[in-house]
Amino acid sequence: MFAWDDSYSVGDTDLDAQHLKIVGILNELYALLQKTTLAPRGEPVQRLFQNLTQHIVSHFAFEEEMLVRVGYPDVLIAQHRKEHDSFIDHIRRFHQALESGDRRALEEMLPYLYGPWLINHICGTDHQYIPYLKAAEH
Amino acid sequence: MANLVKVPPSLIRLDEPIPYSIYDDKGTLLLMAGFTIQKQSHLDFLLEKGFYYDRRTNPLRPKVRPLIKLEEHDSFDMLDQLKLRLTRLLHNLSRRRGGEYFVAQVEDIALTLMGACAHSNNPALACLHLDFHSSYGIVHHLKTAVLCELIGKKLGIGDAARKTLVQAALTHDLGLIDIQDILDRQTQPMTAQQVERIRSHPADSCRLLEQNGVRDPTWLDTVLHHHERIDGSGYPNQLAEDAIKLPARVLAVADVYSAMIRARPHRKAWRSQDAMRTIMLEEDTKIDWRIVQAMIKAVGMFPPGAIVKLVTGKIGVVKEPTQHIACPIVYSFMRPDGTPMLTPIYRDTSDSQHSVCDIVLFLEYRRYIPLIRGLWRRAPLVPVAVAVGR
Repeated sequence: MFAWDDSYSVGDTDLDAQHLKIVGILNELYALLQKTTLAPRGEPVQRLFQNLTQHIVSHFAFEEEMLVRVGYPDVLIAQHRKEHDSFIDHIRRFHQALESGDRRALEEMLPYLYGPWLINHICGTDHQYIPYLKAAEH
Repeated sequence: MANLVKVPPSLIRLDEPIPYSIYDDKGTLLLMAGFTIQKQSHLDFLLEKGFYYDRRTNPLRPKVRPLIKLEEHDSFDMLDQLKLRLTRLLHNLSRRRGGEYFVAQVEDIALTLMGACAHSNNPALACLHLDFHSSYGIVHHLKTAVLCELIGKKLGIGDAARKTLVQAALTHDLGLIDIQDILDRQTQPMTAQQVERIRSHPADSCRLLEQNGVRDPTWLDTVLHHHERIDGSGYPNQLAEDAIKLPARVLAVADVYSAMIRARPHRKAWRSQDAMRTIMLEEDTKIDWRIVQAMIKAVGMFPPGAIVKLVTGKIGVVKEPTQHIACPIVYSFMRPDGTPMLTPIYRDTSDSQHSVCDIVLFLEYRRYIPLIRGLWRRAPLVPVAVAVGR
């Protein structure tokens, strides 16, 4: 489980709420996958995956538009978009693992989501744009 | 559980793959062996929280497969980079800096763009079609240039002449660049002064080009006459018929089409189907038919990146045209109930079960862009560690 900490905040209520929501879904997914009796193809996991897709895609689009609005440098936006794309690509692979019923792949998925995603992205890359958000407020 | 011991600081180093998998106090796997921590703050966070590793496992010594391998550049990315390069070039121009490099830089952008189109033109067009945040001046110049390159190829124009045409397309609205973004956002009718600026922009652009070292007469002529119409109704010189040279005619078609399919605050984007029809029907006395036909052959009725509704109610995006101009290859990405599909699905629209029934407005679907832009990027070569282990 990944506990949300206020230090992860990027200082924008909408973006924080979206990050928190995504973390919440990941935790829920994690809890479900812990139940050994659960079939990976089962309805609840599928539903959560659908939920995750919806939130993540909308969040990425929202965040990218926000970055353009606050004048974040184009080069950094391009890099940021790449991270988003790569992440969606990985989620897609995990989804394929889910579809094919590969339990092991699923169990190894959470460390990825928690690692490169939460630690490097939300708590790292996303923090680089905070000064621009703050400057745009004034 | 008993074998989990605290991770000593010496075990994890910045920018080096971690030798052991790391767990939290409940034994939950947090980071797989081989993951690289790239930031001091993350490392501090991990050490401070006091995580664990399993001392029974062997440390990972050999070379670790990279978790994410960066894709090679493709046309989609190349166009993304050209947006940055053209932005910088025009920025310098407006500050009157770097004029001595202007011609060389435009040539360089033109060659890269032609290279991207030769490699694969559909990602290049899609990259521009799916862009909703770059300034209008940048996207319009690049889109016009890509269309000129594609039309030029269909018409059999040679490489050197096409390069000049592309250079003209990249610079044809220079005279408007300072007010283009204002015009783009403006909802009121244009002022008399603005109308005057529009009338004079071909000549203004030419003057700017000359000031920055452009001597090529074809380049200058093409820019000067890109608003002439073959019935003599254009400007600045009311040239008609054969008095308008071929490059200027090609640029005229590309310019009109590119401007029509872009959304503006005072009007929604023309659906590209309608834009094409307008060019074909209403303007048929004004522009060159042969060129319009070449454009349709090159981009189809539904250009790459266009968002379409299928008869099944699903929403999809055009990946590329096929031999049949009305039946492009489409990937559906949204179900009729509005939920996004993680993996867009290939649809053969020549099959009547999946045929295209309408083009829909791109702006309403822009929040799905992160999901669909990957369709034109080359797939990453190395899968994540997870997928290999099966």
